[in-house]
Amino acid sequence: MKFKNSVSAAHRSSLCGALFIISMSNLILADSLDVVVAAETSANLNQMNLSQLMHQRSAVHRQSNTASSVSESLRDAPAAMIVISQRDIQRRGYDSIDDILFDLPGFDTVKTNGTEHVVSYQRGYRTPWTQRTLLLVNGKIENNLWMHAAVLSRQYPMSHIERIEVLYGPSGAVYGPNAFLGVINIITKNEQKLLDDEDILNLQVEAGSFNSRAFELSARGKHGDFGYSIGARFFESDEADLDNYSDWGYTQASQLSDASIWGQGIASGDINLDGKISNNELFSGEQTGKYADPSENYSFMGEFTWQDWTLGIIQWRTDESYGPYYSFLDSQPQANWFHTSSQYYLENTHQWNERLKVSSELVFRENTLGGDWVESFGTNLSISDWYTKSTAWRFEQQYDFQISPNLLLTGGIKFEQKQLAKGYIICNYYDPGQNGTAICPAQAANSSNGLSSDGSGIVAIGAIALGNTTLFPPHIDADIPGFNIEHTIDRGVFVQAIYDTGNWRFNGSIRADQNSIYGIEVNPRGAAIYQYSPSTTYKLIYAEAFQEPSQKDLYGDWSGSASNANLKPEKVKNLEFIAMHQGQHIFHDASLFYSQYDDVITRSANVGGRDIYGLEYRGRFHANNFLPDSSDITGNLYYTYTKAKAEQQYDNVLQAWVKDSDDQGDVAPHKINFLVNIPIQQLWNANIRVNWVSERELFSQNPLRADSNSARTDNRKAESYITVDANLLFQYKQAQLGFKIENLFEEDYLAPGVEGAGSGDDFSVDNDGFQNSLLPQVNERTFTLTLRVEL
Amino acid sequence: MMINSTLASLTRPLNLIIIIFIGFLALPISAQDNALPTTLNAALTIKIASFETALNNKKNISILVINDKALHQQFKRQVGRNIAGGVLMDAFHDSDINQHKPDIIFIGRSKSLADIILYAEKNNVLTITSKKSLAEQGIALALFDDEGSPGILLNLVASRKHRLNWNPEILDFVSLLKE
Repeated sequence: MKFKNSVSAAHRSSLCGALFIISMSNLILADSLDVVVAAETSANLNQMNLSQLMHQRSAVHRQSNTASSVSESLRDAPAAMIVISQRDIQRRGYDSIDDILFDLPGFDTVKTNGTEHVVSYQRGYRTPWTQRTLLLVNGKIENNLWMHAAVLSRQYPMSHIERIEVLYGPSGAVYGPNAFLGVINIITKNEQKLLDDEDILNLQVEAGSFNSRAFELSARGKHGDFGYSIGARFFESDEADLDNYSDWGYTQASQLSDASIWGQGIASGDINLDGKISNNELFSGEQTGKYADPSENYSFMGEFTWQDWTLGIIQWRTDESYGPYYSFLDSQPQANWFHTSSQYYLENTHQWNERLKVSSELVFRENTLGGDWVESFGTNLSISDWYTKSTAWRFEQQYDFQISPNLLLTGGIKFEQKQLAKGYIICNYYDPGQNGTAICPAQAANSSNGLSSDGSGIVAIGAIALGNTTLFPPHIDADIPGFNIEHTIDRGVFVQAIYDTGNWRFNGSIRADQNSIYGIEVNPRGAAIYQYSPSTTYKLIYAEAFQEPSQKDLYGDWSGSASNANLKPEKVKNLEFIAMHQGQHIFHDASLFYSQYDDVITRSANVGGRDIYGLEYRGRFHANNFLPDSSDITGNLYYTYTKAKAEQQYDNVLQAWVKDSDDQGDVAPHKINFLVNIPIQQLWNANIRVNWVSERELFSQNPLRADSNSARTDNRKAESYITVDANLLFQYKQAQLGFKIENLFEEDYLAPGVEGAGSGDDFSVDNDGFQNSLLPQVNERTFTLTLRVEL
Repeated sequence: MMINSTLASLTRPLNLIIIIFIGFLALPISAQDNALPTTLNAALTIKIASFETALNNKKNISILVINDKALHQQFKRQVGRNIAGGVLMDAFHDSDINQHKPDIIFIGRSKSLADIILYAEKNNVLTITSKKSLAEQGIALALFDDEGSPGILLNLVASRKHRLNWNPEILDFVSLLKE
């Protein structure tokens, strides 16, 4: 499918309006001084002697804007946070964002190799995909506009990242909607610390198992008032073959070529039975009937600055197949599924005087997703195309006003206009009947509601023969018809006060967001932070947030999957206590939290509440190196305990949600992430990562869980597992060579299925559950070789 | 089989990687510079100044920060506080050395490093940097991130050339660069 980008006249008028506002604010503030307004964070440092200063950990004094939208140290931030630096990325051999998630406390992460490459649940809150953690790049929201998922695949250029800040807990009082469980903020390199007329170019080449290869570029430069920062990445892989995965009965290669399941055409790859396999019968260049899982990702991001102005772009595409995500009795895996994201933005940051800073930004976003789908359902076959596109304009302005050395007031406004697709465009699929929301303009004329697929693409397996084969879908136009678009307006306003007195800091904020569909939501946050001693800090935080129901949940139904236009937003209230202590060799950082969730959305229904208790311990240590002329050995020891209870469970026999307070499932009660880094003299570095995940109960929708499926006696759980990864880095002059081994000891395990996870495990039958109840994982060691050079 | 397929897949990109890597062996060495957070740099600078005898005898002290705006802002907030034996009177950024006659110069990076070092030698100025590699090029003191904690590298030769007179107690906190 080919799609075109378009910017409507309405979008252009919004752009002009916001540009006018930015320009006017700049004129008003024209007589300004170049002074940064930021929260004062160093009071205690001035009172320390040199010995105490030398025992401070850099990590707690790094500045971050992620928690409060103003610069503050991590020690002062009203949240638990972890920062992954570029040096960490290099030493650990992270070659994509999804790699990082497995090493973080408080995340239950599953590599699906499917529709969403990775699905991660933060703080024990299970959702179909990663939809409740806000993913940002330089503060710009990357979650898909239509289904809210953070696409955590291989698209971002890791060598262009300065650091990644991971925040735990709700932050609705600063971010507004959907900062529900936490925030991952990717901050890219910029030109600010370069010398005038200096340019730096980084190149990176990767090659690895499964014919995986990637190329990255990161370039920065400063020339007088002008600066630029550009990053790009191209990645492609054949991905693991079935032989490289743990065994699962619904992912057998023979099932894909079984004509009794797929008909003679799809099973052989010669879909139209004309005796040859033509290009139009291939999906991602691969024929049906055989396992293939090709992936291709790319991205481009750039910022161009001139004085106080920044013009930016973030653009990427992931194009991947389904891997072992679905049962091979229901879906052919080699078909492709894509996500695209484009963001264009204009920013201005201006100092009025030493006390006032005004920041403005205007952002245009466009997201698409869709792909091919080759399905065997019951006795029928179909080849369908799926597509959706949504766009948004957002204007935000923030005011930082330093009232006194001890008091910083921050306020902000937001105006956002979204054009959100309602139902999917699905062509060549089932006629959904009068109440279906999916549309297919090319087949609408003969459908029962005049809008959707007409069912002509559905062919009975038994009827497949030359002259009566599975049909290919018609062309889908990239523009969404006007009747299938919902126009929404979001307005937001927030105010925040940060006050320092003695060893205390108080951070209070409140935010109101009005949505033209579901009305007003108000979310407060309050934090008291106490510097007990130079080495010890305590924080008490109360925060609320809300999650909008996604368009997919509201309108995105199709035959076999419901939507509900009456969904209410989800709410979370979180109470958290954090203690940090910088010992001589160990930095202890622990969070104890209780989160209460209301109106939980799952499978297009509000299904009551959830209560989640948790303990996250984030220990970091350093010790003298036993090797001569080598820097200290450092490492992390993270432990996560999570207890997640849900008020309602899905009854797999009744096929309905019922009141039954029990384990939510899919979240491991215990997790340990251990990492050790050993510098080897000046040129070498060895890094070893060990992740242990305890056995866990499955989600109630999963038919393998006995207490939600009275037809089953054997309660199957996701088994415990331990993985070990290692990375050896050699640095010489301006070049680095990295060699990474993942799954060093070839751990063989199955991860919990995602979404409905409905396949079951009676492999003798096809119950059309689609998503595998347990997901096979690569059970062999894999290798990646990476070269980085700086010019 | 797994290893064979991996090796096969690596073959062509591996050749490219090796060729590029060998090409870069000829470039000059660039040490990894891991800077401390700005607040720590500022606090350490103020404390360390008291270990230098000449600074301890001055009443009014000024700092020039070169190519590090955030650190300059941090020092601006410290103006009026005690530093060494006197008071921090002012902090300048990327300004003309001769115009302000600073007592301490904190260098982020600079194209005119040689000029700054020459000025420091002539005027008995303490030079500090957040880049460990610059200490090896003649800056008296480097503050750096040593695997997550502050590290201080004291260049004895540069200190001698700058006519700095250190309190021996500083030896408890620093690594020495003697050449």
